[in-house]
Amino acid sequence: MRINLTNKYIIPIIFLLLTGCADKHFITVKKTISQDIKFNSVKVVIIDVDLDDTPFTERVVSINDSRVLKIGTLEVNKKIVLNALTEALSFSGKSVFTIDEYNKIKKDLTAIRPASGYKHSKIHALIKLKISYGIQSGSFESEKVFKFYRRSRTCQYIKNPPKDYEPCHSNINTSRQQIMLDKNAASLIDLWYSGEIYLNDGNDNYYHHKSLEGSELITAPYQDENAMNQNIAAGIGKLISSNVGLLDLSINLQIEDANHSDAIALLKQGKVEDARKILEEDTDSPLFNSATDFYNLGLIYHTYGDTKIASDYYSKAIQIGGYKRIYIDALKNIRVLNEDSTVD
Amino acid sequence: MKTVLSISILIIIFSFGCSNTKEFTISYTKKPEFILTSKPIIVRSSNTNGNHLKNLIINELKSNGYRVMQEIETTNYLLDLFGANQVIPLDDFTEIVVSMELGSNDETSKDVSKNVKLAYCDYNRQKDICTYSDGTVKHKVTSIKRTGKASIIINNAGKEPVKILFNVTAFASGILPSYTNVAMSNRIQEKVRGKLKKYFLKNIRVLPEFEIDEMAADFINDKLYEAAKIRVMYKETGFKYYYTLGLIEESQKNYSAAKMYYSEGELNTDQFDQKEVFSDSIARIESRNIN
Repeated sequence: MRINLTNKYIIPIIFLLLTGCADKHFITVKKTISQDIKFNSVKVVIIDVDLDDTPFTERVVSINDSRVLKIGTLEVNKKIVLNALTEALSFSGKSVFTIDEYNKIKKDLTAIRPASGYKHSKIHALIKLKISYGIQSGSFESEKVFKFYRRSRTCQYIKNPPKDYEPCHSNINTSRQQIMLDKNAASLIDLWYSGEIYLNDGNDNYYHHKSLEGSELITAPYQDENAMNQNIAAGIGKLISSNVGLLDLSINLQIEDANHSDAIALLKQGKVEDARKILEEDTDSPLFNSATDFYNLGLIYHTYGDTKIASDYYSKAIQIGGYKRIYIDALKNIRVLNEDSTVD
Repeated sequence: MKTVLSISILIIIFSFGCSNTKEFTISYTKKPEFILTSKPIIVRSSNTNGNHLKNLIINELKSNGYRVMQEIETTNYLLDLFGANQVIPLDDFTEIVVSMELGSNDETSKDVSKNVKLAYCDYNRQKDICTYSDGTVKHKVTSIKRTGKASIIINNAGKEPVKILFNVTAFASGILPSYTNVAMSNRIQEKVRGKLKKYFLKNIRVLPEFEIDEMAADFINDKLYEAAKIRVMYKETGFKYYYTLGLIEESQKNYSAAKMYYSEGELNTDQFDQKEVFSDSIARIESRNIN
């Protein structure tokens, strides 16, 4: 059987947890899965954003009155939004630039380099986003029902108490509901974003790869406009990268004790490859008929990221040993970690 | 010996012991009522506000099996800066031009009050622990409303353009209300799905009258098809054997294998109602969306 230790898109990191709960031992598989395999492979990305005018209202809301303190159009700092986006998209070794940054680099390089013999760096992806949002902020109050509790106990301890003597008694044990003012302050940002990603086909021709569209209500503390812009920018960065970025997964797989104690001991020590050799040496033997051995072999291939072989071994374990919870869970986890689960 | 015995017990318990059954809903997609076009589609926005609508429509078209190409005119702005070329469509295409006019945000406020019962409870009492009084809680609610007009024009060479116009109204309200972007995005998506429904795949859900083995059903729902197959191999015979294996294959979109099991099942049963189940399943496979 072939061990596939490398995977272009999914990078497994294997940790062995030896602590265990009582005598349970686990292997933890950590994987990073790409939400967009094609975009993940690009290195130089240029991003541009079209920001709509941002309506802004600051108000004070009391029980009987809603008063607007300030209303108008907020000046959005495009640079902050772009910085957050470039940061959020700079994963997997990407260099993300804004149009201005890219043009400045290009101009500076042209100035210092000889007139010919140099090529500008290749751009692999272009992202154009349109972002619209409005900000509502202020302090507000409303009436709410609050519940209060009051409890007190008195205890008297005596020498040689009679049978059934209870030293402690509850004096007060009440609850009371009361209408009170609930005062709060917040900012609400209703974000609507959409955009397109173009990828370079290798010959400097760009083709439409993906359209993005979504919306989200972001809650931020009631604060000044610049601080709010930071919050908005951070929120946008996370949202966009959730469409095309990386997803970290971590799964604990339980090692099952079996008759191959030598292999199990190695597995518990993290010597996964040594354990595999011992277990696989015996697979052709008529004595190798243990569901546990098949399960542990599945687990080894699971950690290697070779999910097809792992799935076959888990299925054999189920076939021989029945529908044990850990076998089923392991098989379910294969589906989660499988390459097919990446969203393209 | 001990191991062999425990393995045997497990097989008995898990493979033969549990015989609960469960309803199993079959979900599949059917071809649209009308095919919008078999050509690649280019979606353009004729104004800035239409960009969100454009991207929303592109996503909807793609998820319904249409081929979408990039537009060229408005993306020139982005690409020209880099002296970059675009992949220019050489074949015939269908063009969808969208635009969106958005109105201003209008807001209204109103007083809201709600009657409540207030309890006072003394837990040291033996009876009548709680007494109640009436109260009213009040707060101010502000609603923000924004209206919009959307236009979608589908241009197919040699055919009359199809014009789809609709109005959309989005609301947001609260003690501290938000603006209406989130509501507007959701409302437009609903409208687009409604207006272009006849061009989109039909999602069908069928709940057959009879049930299949509960564990096999759970495995199929969890996409643990190998485990489901093993379960069926051990557990089922006759009608349910062929039918459940057909379902497992159908759930994995292995339509030819599914059809094979349903056909074998149809041949291997004499009962009319069971034959009907298999023929319905084969018809479903044949009517499914090919895209």
